[in-house]
Order: sequence, then C-alpha cells, then structure tokens
Amino acid sequence: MSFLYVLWQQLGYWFIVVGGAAGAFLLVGIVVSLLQHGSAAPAILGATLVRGVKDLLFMSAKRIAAIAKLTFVESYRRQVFAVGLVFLGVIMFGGWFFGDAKSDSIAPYVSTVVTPMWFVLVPMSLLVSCWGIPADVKERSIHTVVTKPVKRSEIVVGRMLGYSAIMTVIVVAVSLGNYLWLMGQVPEHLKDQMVARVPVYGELTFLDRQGMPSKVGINVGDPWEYRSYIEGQTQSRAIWRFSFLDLGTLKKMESIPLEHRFEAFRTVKGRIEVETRFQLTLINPTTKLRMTLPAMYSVREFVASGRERVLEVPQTLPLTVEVNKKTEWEDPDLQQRVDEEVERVLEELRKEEAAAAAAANRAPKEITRQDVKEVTVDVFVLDDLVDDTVENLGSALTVEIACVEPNQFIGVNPADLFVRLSDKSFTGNYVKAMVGIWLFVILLVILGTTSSCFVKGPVATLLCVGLIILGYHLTGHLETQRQLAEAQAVHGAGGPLEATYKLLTKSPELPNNFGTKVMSKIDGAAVSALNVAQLAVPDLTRFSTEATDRQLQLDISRGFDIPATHMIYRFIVVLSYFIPMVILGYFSLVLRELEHK
Amino acid sequence: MSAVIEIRNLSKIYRDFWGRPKVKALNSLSLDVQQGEIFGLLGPNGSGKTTTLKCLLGLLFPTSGTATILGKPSHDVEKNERIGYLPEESYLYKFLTGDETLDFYGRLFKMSAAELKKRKEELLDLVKIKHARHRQLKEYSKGMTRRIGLAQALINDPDLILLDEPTSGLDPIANSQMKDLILDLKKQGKTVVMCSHLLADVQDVCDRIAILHQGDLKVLGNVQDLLQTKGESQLRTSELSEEALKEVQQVLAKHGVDLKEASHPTTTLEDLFLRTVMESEQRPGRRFEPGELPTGSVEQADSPTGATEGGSRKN
Ligand SMILES: Nc1ncnc2c1ncn2[C@@H]1O[C@H](COP(=O)(O)OP(=O)(O)OP(=O)(O)O)[C@@H](O)[C@H]1O
Ligand SMILES: [Mg+2]
Repeated sequence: MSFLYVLWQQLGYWFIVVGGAAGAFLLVGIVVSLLQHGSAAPAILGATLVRGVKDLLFMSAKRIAAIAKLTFVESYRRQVFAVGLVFLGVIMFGGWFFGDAKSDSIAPYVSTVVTPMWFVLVPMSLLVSCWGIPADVKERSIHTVVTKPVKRSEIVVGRMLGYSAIMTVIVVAVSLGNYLWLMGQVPEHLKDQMVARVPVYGELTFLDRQGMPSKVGINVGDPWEYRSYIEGQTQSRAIWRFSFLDLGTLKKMESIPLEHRFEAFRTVKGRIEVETRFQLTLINPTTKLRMTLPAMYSVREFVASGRERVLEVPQTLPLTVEVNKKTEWEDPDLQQRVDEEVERVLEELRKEEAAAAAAANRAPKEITRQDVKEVTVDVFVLDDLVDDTVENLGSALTVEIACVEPNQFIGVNPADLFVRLSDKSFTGNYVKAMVGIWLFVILLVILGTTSSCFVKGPVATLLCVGLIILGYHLTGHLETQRQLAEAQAVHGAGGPLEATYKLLTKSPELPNNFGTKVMSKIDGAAVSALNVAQLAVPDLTRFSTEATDRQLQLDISRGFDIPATHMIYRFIVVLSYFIPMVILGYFSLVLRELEHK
Repeated sequence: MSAVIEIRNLSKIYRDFWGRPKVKALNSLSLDVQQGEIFGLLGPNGSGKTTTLKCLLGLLFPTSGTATILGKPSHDVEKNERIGYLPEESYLYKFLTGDETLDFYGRLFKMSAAELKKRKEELLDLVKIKHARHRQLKEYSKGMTRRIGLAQALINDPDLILLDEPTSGLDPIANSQMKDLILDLKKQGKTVVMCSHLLADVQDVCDRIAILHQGDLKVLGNVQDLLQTKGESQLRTSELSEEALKEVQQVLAKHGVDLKEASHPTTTLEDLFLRTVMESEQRPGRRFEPGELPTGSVEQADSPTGATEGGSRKN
C-alpha cells in the first residue's frame, strides 16, 4: 500500500468524523441555546460561531508560545522530571534483578525497558495534562490570563504544546537512558539479535491427511489454538501463499532467507533431542513448477530468534527433468532452457557416438531425444518460482511444508514462516518504537487537555482512561465487524441486512424491488459507518510495542521492524485528533464561566 | 466625557451544579463610568462588588442585562489590550519569579520585547520589588504579591484600570503610594474603577462612588455632592482660647476671631457608608438620592477610627 493511498484514505474518513462531530456539537448547541435563550437563540448562536471561527483561525503564535512556556515551567517546577528519574531508577533496579537470569534471547531485555515505559508514561501524561486547567480555574490564576487579550483557543493550544513539550523531554530522556542500558546490558553473544527483521508474511492454508484443502490444520488439543498442526508422513501440508515479494531486494541477496518458528509435537514419547524434520517445497502458483529442496530441515524450538532459524534458499536450484515425460509445469521460458540443455546433451552424445563409431569403424547410430533420459537445468528461484507479473498480482509464491517424521506433528501459525528481507538497524527500529510511544503520549495529552477544559481533573482522567480502554478493545471488535461486512459484500452475500434476508428466505438472489434497494443502501451505509467509527475511536493497539495476534510485527523486543504504514497511521491519528480536540476545548472554555464551583 | 463602562440592568444569580439559584449577587444594576474619572465601588462584604467587576471582564456571564466596556461587549478579548485588572486576591502563578511573571503577562500583549523590558523595569521600580525579582511568588509576602499583582495589571499601560481592593495587605507607606499612583493615573487621563473598604482612601481619591448593598445599588454620585450637608453652615477658625471656646456659642464675632471659611459642612464617607448600610437594612429596596440620608452621627455602629475627623456635626 502506498503512502499516499493510506494518507488519502485516513484523511477521507477523518473529514467525515470531524464533520459528523461538528454537526453533533452544533445540534446540541442549538438545543441548549434554544432552551436557555428562547427566541434570541439563533442570534446568540450565530455570534458565538462567528467568534469561534475567528478565534480558531487567527491565533497569535507569540501568546501560544507564552502559555506553552508557562505550562512547561509549571510542570518543571512541580518536579515532573523527578518522576522520570524515579522511573529510570526502577529500570535499573529491574535490570539488577534481571542480571542473573540467563536468557538466550534479547526479548526479555527489550521488554524490561519498553513495557514499563507504558506504565509510567501513560499515567504521567494524564497526570500532567488533565489537572492543569482545572487547577488554573480553581486557583483563579486563569482570571489574570483571560483578562489579557488572550483567546481561549490560544490557551488550549498553548497548554497542549506545553504539556507536549514536557512529555517530549521525558520520553526522549527515558528512551535514551533505556537505549544506553540496553547497549550495556545485552550480552555480547546476543548482540546479533539486535536487528530489525523485515518480514514478508504469507497466507496460511492446509492440506489434511488425505490431501484435501482445509482452512485449519489438525488440532492436537492445544486449548489456545495458537498453532494448527500437520502430521508427519501423511498428505497433510502447511501451505503459505505470498502475495507479493520485492524481487529487486531479494535478488541482491546471496540467498533467499525464509525464517521459521515451528513447534514440534510428539505422540510417541521420544527423546527430546530427536529432531523433528520437515521438508520445504517452493511452488510457482502460475506455472505449477514445484521444487522440493534437497535438504531436510529440523524444527528449532529451543533456539533464540537469531540466524539459526533461517533457511537459506539458494538463488539457483538444480532441476532434473525427465525428458520424455510430460512435465507438470507449463513454463515456456524454462521449457526452452530444458530444450537447449537436451540439445546440448544430444550434441555431446552424438559426438561421443561419432567417436565410438569411428573407433569401431562402423556407421554411427542415430541419436534421438528418446536417448536422453533426463537433464538437469538451473532453476532461478526468483525468476522461475516467483510470479511477479501484473496479471497474477496477489499470488507470487507458494511454500509448502511437510513433516517427514511418522507420528510426529509440526505446529504452525500464519506468522511462523516469513521471507526475511535484509535486516534494518535495531537502533532505527528502536527510534520508531519510541516515536510511536511519543505519539501516543501526545495523543493522551491532547485528549487530557481537552477533557480538562470541561470537567475537573479526576473526571478528565477517568474520561481519558475510558477512551484508552475503548481504543484498545472496541477497535479490534469493530475491525472484525468491518471485515465481516466487507467479506460478505465481496462474496456476493451483500451487507448485514442482505445476508440476513437471504438467510431467512433461503434464497440466493434478491428480488429487485424498492425494499431491497433500500436494504442494500442501508448495508452500504452500515459498512461506511463501521469504517468511520473505527477512525473515531483510535485503534490504540496500533501504538503498541508488543505483539498481538493481529499485529505481530510491532514487537520490537523480538526484533521486528515496524512498518511505515503503522507510523503513518500513528501520525494521522494524532493529527486528526488535534484539530477537533482544540475546537472542543475552545468551546468548552468559551461557554463556561471560569469560576471555581 | 464619554462613558468607558456602561452597565445596564445587570443581574447575576449564582447557581449550583444543577442550575438551581443559590445567591442573587446583583440585582438590576445600572451605572456608567466616565472617561478619565476615578470611580469607587463600595459596599459591605458580599454586596456584589467583585461580581460586578467579573461580569464586566467576562469572567462571569450575567444572568440578564448587559455590560459594555470600552464600547465592546465583555467577552471581546481585543478590548483587553487597553485594560488592566488587579483581582481581589493576587491570582498569579506562584511558581514563577517576579521577573517571569511580568514577562509572561507582558508577552500576552502586542508589545515589542524591548518595550516590555523597559516597562518591566519601570514597574519593578514603581512597586519596589526589584530586590525580590528573581524569587518565586510562593515566597512573597502578601503585600509583595499585591505589589507584583499591581505591576502585572499595569504592564500594558492600560487606559482603563480595574482594581479590586488595591490596598488590601499593603503597609501604610505603600498604601499612601497607591493613592498617589491612582491620582497619577488619573492625571495621565486614565480611568480607574476601584473597590475598597478603606473609606478614607476612597474619599481622598475617588471622583464618584457607588454603594452596593446585597446586590442593590443604594447610592451613586459625586463624592463632593454626596458628602455635603445642606442647610447648615461651617466655620473654620484659628486657635481658640479657653474663654473663647466658652463664649463662642453666644457671640462669635464679638471676640474678634478671623472667619477663615464659611461653607456647607461635609460628613465623612465613612459616615455616609454606615448610614447607607443601616438605612438599607431598615428600608430595603430603596435607592437614596444625594442629601437624602439623615445626617448626624451613627451611634449604633462601631466606628473604630471615630467619625469626627472630617467635622461632622453632633446635635
Ligand atoms: N463563585 C461563587 N459562587 C456562589 N456564590 C458566590 C460566588 N462568588 C460570590 N458569590 C456570592 O455573591 C455575593 C457577592 O459576592 P462578591 O464577591 O461580589 O462580593 P464583594 O462585594 O466583592 O464582597 P467582599 O467585600 O467581601 O469582597 C455573595 O453573597 C457571595 O457569597
Ligand atoms: Mg470582593
């Protein structure tokens, strides 16, 4: 997905959200105003709106800076930084305990420093941003500010900037401290894990024991069902379909790295050191060319995620073709190379036969294609096994895994096999993760400041905590709903209403009448509404630094590079909250008396 | 002379969280303040003085009525460019130093950095806080906070200054300086509105006053007019001897005393104030015109300073 596309899509939704929110506020405003002012309401409302537009459009940078500075100095002098120091102390303390634990992975080291950041920075941002304006009102110091030529919009923006500045300093300090700690604490032999792997994931399907396609593998009774299993020495296979591979990058590499993290499951109580081996087959989905790699690989459960788990598929593989049999694959290009090889072999055979005939003084026998049993040609994995043509966009390569040990099982999950592009730097990825945390903190500051414009500190904090919880749980739910609705639409089932209708009437087609037209319109709207709702509540899991089922790649502690699309999403969420929240904060300050009650 | 402040039928009812009325703080108040005058807003505690100022400044929203200040509605922020406000208590940022305080407030105005620096030095001199300019306000004494509060109110060289109890917490010297300052501001053509309980001071500096009582306007007018007692004469003499004092009631001129001044006697503002409040309590809901209030001493009221200094007549 291109940057611009993501930007465009998100901004589009965002305008709908802002427009909708503005409409809702306006409606509430009209109702309240009518109740309060009666017939004078339209004039008062109009004047307030005009004033609002003016105040929001023409703000003075100088005054905003003055208020931001005041805010910064206030937090600073109230020893907000001390909290940062305490935090660093906690980390050191944790690290001290941690020092004994033997780990063969850097993951615990990274999570020791990254996970507590959330627990400290989130409450801290709320503590800093939710209480300032209410205290300003309570102590009435705001009276000396609003009686100067200061617009309330400037107070909101200045406050947000000031809190953002102080939180920025804290995030920078803490992440720097953590980085230095990591560099110092991670043992030398684990340093090679400090990379940012760039995975390309595929879609996983299965073949069952009888070789029939199936969505899931065999369940071995694992209650979590994180992995599905394939059984050894049966037809059962795990099949990954990669939709797109960046050939330019891969061709520059010596071999094509496939990283795996399978799990073995033994039904016979074997010795643990017995290896569970598997075989890898690469398939071109279009030409059906199959190449089973000669080597057997074994499941490496007990190694860290270093290079031991990486299968290096060579750029070229030898393919032996039985000349006189019809091939399973259809690839003119490869066929030509095979034919050329056959010709070469024929040529050689003829020369040999000519020499033998001359020596024996007889007429040479005729050598035909029938005399060549098989030839071996080089298969260029990236050219012959990967289909990157436009017409087959979306299915570039298929990788099949077969377990070769009888009575043993290999457990797989979609993320258990991926093409590992050239690693990026750990430091760069760490910076991205920290920028992500920082953006989250800024988002909280924006939400906190705004809520503190209309409720007191404790309520504002609660409100924000509620939003965070929603952001973590609701969006995942919404996403599922949306995908469901979309899938139904794609597969001709129509939207939720249409699907229900079909289900109830048991008819595959909709009658073409007015009612059904309305129904599909409502369905369309429902899908859009879900899209919008998804943006209205930010998907906070996207800010996470830890892997979830949905977002594996966010786990920097396991050394995965954070994709650019996630960074864009984070930026856009923060940006898109900023403006509506300033407007909301502004009107909250304008419409209320700044008097402690 | 044009009106700088126009208040028309201003009422303010404080409500609780549920919107139920709690206190009626102002009751249909109407008054004007003219350009260039010093206006005193008087009244017992809780009579609505501060509420009036806050409504003027847009800190509170009137329940009904309007307040116009410098020709603009009170919510307009641009007019604040020309206004200075000293709140009743110094609601300042305690973690800032005196210096930073003036810097902060100064930056909120259209003022160049050089101008602000100059102004800051002048004001620190004026309020005599230079020695403590680098200390945080939380370490300031009450009077010092008051002084820095005054400085921030004057930082923009305002044309209209609203002072809510400017002399509270000040020592006698600062108090008299404050009076000089206010008179000085008037000389520069500025308008001052002040609330105060120090009636002698108000009497000294104010051109006009209003007395509020439980949100009602009771007295409004020129200080001179209000304090004049009609139908009586007042003589001012040089030092009188013992005998002269005895005879003075019978034959004043006979003893050859110089007649320095003959005028209407004036009462003190304190007298006027106490009488207004007492009358208001006895006869609620009335507005008193100048000279209408009964003259004479107020026995019921405790008057610690003694109401005699200005020469009130005792019957
Ligand atoms: N925030 C508030 N909430 C509720 N009532 C208030 C509030 N502020 C003032 N009042 C009430 O309004 C009335 C007028 O108060 P105001 O502060 O205007 O009096 P004042 O004349 O300034 O008194 P003082 O001389 O004590 O400063 C009082 O009865 C007071 O209790
Ligand atoms: Mg008061």
